[in-house]
Amino acid sequence: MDHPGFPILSLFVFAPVLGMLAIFCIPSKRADIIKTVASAAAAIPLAIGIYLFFTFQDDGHIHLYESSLWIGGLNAYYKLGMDGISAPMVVLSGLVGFISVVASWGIEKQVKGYFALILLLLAGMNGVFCALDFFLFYVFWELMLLPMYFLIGIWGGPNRVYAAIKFFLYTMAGSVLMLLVLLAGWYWSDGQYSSPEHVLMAKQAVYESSEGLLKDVAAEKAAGPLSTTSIAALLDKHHFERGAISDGDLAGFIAKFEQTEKTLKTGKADASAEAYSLIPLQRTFDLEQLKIRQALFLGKFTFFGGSIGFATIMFLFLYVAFAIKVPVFPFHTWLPWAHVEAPTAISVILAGILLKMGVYGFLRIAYPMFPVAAVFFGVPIALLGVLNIVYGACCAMAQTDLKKIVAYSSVSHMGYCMLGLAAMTHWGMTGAILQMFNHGTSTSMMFLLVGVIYDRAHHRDVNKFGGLAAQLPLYTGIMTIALFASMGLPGLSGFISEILVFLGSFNSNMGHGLIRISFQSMTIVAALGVVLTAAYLLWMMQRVFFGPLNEKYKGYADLTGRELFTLVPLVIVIVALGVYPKPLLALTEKSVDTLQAHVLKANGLKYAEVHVDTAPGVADKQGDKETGGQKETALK
Amino acid sequence: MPTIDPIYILLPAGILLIPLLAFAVILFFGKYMDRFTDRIAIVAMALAFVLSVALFSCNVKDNGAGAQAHPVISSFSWINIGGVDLTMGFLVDNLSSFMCVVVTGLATLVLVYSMFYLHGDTLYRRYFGFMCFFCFAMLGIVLSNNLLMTYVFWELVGLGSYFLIGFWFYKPPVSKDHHYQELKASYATGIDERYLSPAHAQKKAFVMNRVGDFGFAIGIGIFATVMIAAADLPGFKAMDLRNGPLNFDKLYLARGHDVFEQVRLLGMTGPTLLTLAGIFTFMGAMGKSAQFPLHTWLPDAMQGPTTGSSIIHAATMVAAGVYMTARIHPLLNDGSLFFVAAIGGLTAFLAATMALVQWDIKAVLAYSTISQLGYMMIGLGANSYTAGIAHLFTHAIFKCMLFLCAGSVIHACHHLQDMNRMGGLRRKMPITHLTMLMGTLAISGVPFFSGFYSKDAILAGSMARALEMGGLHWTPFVLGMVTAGLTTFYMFRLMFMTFYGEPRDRHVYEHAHESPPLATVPLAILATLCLGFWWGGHLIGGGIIPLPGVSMDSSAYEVKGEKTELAMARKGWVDTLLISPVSAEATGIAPEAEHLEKHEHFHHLAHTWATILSLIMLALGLTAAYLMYIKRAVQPDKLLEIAPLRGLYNVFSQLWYFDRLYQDGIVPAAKWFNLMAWKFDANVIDRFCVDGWATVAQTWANGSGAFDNWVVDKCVDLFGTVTWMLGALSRSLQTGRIQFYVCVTFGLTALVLLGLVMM
Repeated sequence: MDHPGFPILSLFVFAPVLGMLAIFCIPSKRADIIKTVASAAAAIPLAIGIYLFFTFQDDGHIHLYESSLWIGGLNAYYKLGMDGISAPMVVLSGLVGFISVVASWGIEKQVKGYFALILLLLAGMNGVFCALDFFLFYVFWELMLLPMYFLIGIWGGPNRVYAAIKFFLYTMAGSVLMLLVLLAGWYWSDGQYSSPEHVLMAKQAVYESSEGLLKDVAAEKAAGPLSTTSIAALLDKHHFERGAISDGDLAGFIAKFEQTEKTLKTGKADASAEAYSLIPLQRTFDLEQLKIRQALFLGKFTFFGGSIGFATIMFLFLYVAFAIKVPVFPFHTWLPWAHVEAPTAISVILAGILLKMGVYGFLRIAYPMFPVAAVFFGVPIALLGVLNIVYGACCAMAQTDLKKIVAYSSVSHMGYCMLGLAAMTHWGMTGAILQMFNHGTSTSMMFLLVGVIYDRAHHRDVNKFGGLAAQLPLYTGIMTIALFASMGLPGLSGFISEILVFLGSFNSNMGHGLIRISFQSMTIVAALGVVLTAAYLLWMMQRVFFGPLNEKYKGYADLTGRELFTLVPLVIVIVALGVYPKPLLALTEKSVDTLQAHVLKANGLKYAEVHVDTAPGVADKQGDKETGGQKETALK
Repeated sequence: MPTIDPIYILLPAGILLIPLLAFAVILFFGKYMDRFTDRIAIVAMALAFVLSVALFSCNVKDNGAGAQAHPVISSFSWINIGGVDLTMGFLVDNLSSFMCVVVTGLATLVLVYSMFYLHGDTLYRRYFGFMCFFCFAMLGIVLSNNLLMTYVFWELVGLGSYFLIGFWFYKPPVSKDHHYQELKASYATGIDERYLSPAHAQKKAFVMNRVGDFGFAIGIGIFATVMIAAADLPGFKAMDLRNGPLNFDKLYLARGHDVFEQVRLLGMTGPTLLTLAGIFTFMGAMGKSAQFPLHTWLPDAMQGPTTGSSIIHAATMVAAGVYMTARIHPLLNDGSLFFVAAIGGLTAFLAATMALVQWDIKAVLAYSTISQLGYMMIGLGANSYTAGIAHLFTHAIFKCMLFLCAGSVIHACHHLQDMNRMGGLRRKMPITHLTMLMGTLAISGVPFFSGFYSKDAILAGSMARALEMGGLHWTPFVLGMVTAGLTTFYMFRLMFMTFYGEPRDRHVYEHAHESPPLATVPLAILATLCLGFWWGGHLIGGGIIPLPGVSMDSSAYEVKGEKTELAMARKGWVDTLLISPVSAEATGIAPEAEHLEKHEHFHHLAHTWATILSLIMLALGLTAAYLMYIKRAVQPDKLLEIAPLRGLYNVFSQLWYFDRLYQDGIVPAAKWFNLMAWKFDANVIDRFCVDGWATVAQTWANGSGAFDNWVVDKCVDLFGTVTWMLGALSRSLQTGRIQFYVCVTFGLTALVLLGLVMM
């Protein structure tokens, strides 16, 4: 699976940048060449995404590592990799990125700048989904912001400047909080602010994660004495960040691990504490290390004489940072503005990929780093998710602008992700990941389709349309598929994720008693979304497509070849994954297992897919045929 | 899992996929084979029908009947995650295989009829595609082996219905449709004409169904959670509940072992939880089967083509709710069963009263459908599984036919649907008249017609239940009994007004004509099936007509080599084949003998009385209709002059104000709420909370700008000013006059000297 030597993920991330550089060399008059080059550059991530979709075998670990020291003093690495959580996002990003570039062919204003920026945007997004170093993640996260700002601000609708500034500032506000966590996490990651027992826990976790390293060291030693280069190679192989360790100290670094192993083997009662304390910790941005060392963040953070759980405050910071991106109520109001004002292709990227970065952030950073706080805040997170679902749907129903309806439907649908995530069940988390993917495809379709009608009618007012189905049958047919996919119609992909989130949160095993009941009640409220979504989408459908044809729209052309080219792949994906979701499930299953196990272990919860209180007295009731049956079961 | 004869996978798969294939062919290639699309659909459906018959006969032959019936269950992994596999698969038993026969058989006939009815429609091709899609979805529900798969196809059926209701999507609301206004019935129907249009109706149907599905989904959630939670408990381990937790057989088995006693959910356990689960799941059926209070979508759905209505909104789709209730029937406990029966009773009665006052021939049938679906629910809720299911089948056939007859009449009268302008048509359309009469006799429950057997069994079952349980359990029975009379009345009213008496509108009458064989042959076939002897069962299986796999030797009714105690000759094939799947076999628990005995006793008692009472109701209804619409002994208009009757008439014709409540109450309220939510979003959250920050920032910026301008900068400027002033001062010294300089020099020197002297 791993491709030593060939940096496939780097290519995935930087192919658009190469395209951008190529575009700089093309004279701006040659718009057609620019568009071709841009599409070709965006096709590379798509090809890689498809290739990975079919070949990537998820085993719960990270693969396709690429790692090299970037900023030595900070121990920041250029580290990319992919596991089952990022795999669907990589595929989605490749697909939607390419489609949005193709969908931009109609752009006529400042073509060169537009395509250069959109390619830079793609690079940023792709980077976010592959980065395994917090610092690198942050850089990609911010990298994507800038082109987005210009793309909305220059090529957008009438309120574009307002929307662009709002989007930029709002997201920046979140980024600042993430930056705080980035720095604080870095400072705390060497354990100097943590209590001794937490440091010991973290060190034990680090030691346990280094099992393979020691085996290889032993094997290497058997062959001959270790050289500095061979140690370095081994550390690289096992993705140990050497960071600030100078070459001379490398042998010592390994020796500490070996000594730990030796001490542990003595089997003395107090051996483990002594042994683990030998493990060196240095400050790091490595997301895997931060996940392993989550115990370090369990301590208190003191300021102005008071103290608060470090993880609690950091998790809340991260929550806001990512919640703005998701977006979670009440941080969502930038979204309708940005979606409505952005040009079609940018709306597609915004809804199709950008929103997923928020949920992905939770899965990649917030939950692994602060699992205890994440579980602690489970109910409020779920509650806001449910609020998203219901409130987003209600707001969508009040809209008359097609794009705003779709925008608020995104708010509503992303609520499912948050609910599934908060439930921390296998079904719920898988549902959340699938919902990210499925919402990405169905919403992209809807924005593309809205763009199609906007290109023809030059307005998006629902009430001014009517009867388009008679004039544009193909368009109507594809819109129907998009809407019903968004509605979670079985047979289309949205259903799978919604039902998984639904069953997952109904089964939530976070906490006991009241918490469980509140999860179940919230799920019931969330199920209302089923009715509301159908109501606003079908109402929109009725007003736009049915009834007598508005004479104004006679003679409008149905979908063109290029438009079909952008839509049909999405239709195929939606139908295929709705009927046969297994490939996508297989892509994520083991990694979800790993993450869930990590979170539950950190919370001291038992690992189980489903865990429900049993009624009192079950243990002594054997429930066998003799006694259990005859009592009440007069089944006829 | 025991090995399954591949025939039980291949045949259902064929039945399911052939219509889907036909849909795909029509969708993608219909354009190129315009003339053949109808044939493609009909051939596909007929093929599915043949396979269904094969499946049914194989099933009866191989898997037995009565208490010895073994459903054949195949299941395939679908969503396999977290150690739990939500499967897909087929459940083949007598019920599902017979339902397949009925669905495909009716669909074939309706498609043939449609060739006549929709001839020349611009969307002709599309219609056949949609019908194939609908049948695919419907057969999916029928063959499904678990609740989730049922839900999947349930929604797809909703989609098929959405397409067909909105088939003529380009029509305006009927208040603006002059053609409609000319032809519509002259009396108010209680449906707001400002909104009524195919486009509105299709949305309404889907959304109201979704209200039901909301409950269905929660029911599924409860069942899934309970089953998976129980998977590791002692006593349940052997059941392998993780593999297909929602499979019907596993649900029955676990329920038989009191699984609900073991698990606590939503703070509930035991019967409370089970009742809740049952009621939530049944909500799905309330939506799909148009049960009170979710019934208002069905009359609107008549905006679709009559042929579509006949199969979807009369025969099969609306029966899917009943079918699903039958599938979950073994999971329902007394509480949820009563809920089912009560909803059924209310629906049957309310819808029948609405049907009394309709003037639109299709509307009468629509309300009648709702009412009859209520009957089926009464049957299932009264624990008379067989009766409810039998009524599903008999009703499917006669109601499908009645709709087709109505279509024939409407076609003959050039899209006129108003019964006030019909009359005497029996002379013009003898075949339609005869078939519709048979349908009317069947639905009214006249002996020797199919409806008699099933309806009677329902009423008997309901009465037996009431005798057994007492109290409120009498309500469904009483409502059902009253409805029996009402049904007879409104159906004969329809017959008399349409086919008897003198023509009320000469013009319409003159132009009316009998439909061609393409329509009348399907009608004749269906009319034959309304005869009671097919259903009474004393002839079929037991005597004249052999049923596959059932031995004709009257001394030993052998099924698969085993003697069945249930004598087919005595009980009839319906009672032998279509019995509740929860036998001792399925749950591993035998019902108590004493209980059975008591039950039998009540049943005998109820059967006699229910038959007598229902015959009395039949006579009453028939007499009333005859007196009012043939003899004209009682003028309907005169009756309305009596104030209380007028009041009742208003309530009925306003549909008990449900449509008004929804359309003028709930919908505007929801719209207002949504608007408020959005206003809140735009103003409070966005403008105040988010943009408020901008204002704060701006104010702060202005303040700091002012501070910068007026304080900091002025401080800086002060230096300049001071310097400038000093400069000015010193410049003023620079006079350039030598006398001044000399004076200053001398003056300063004098001062220095003075200082020195002083010191």
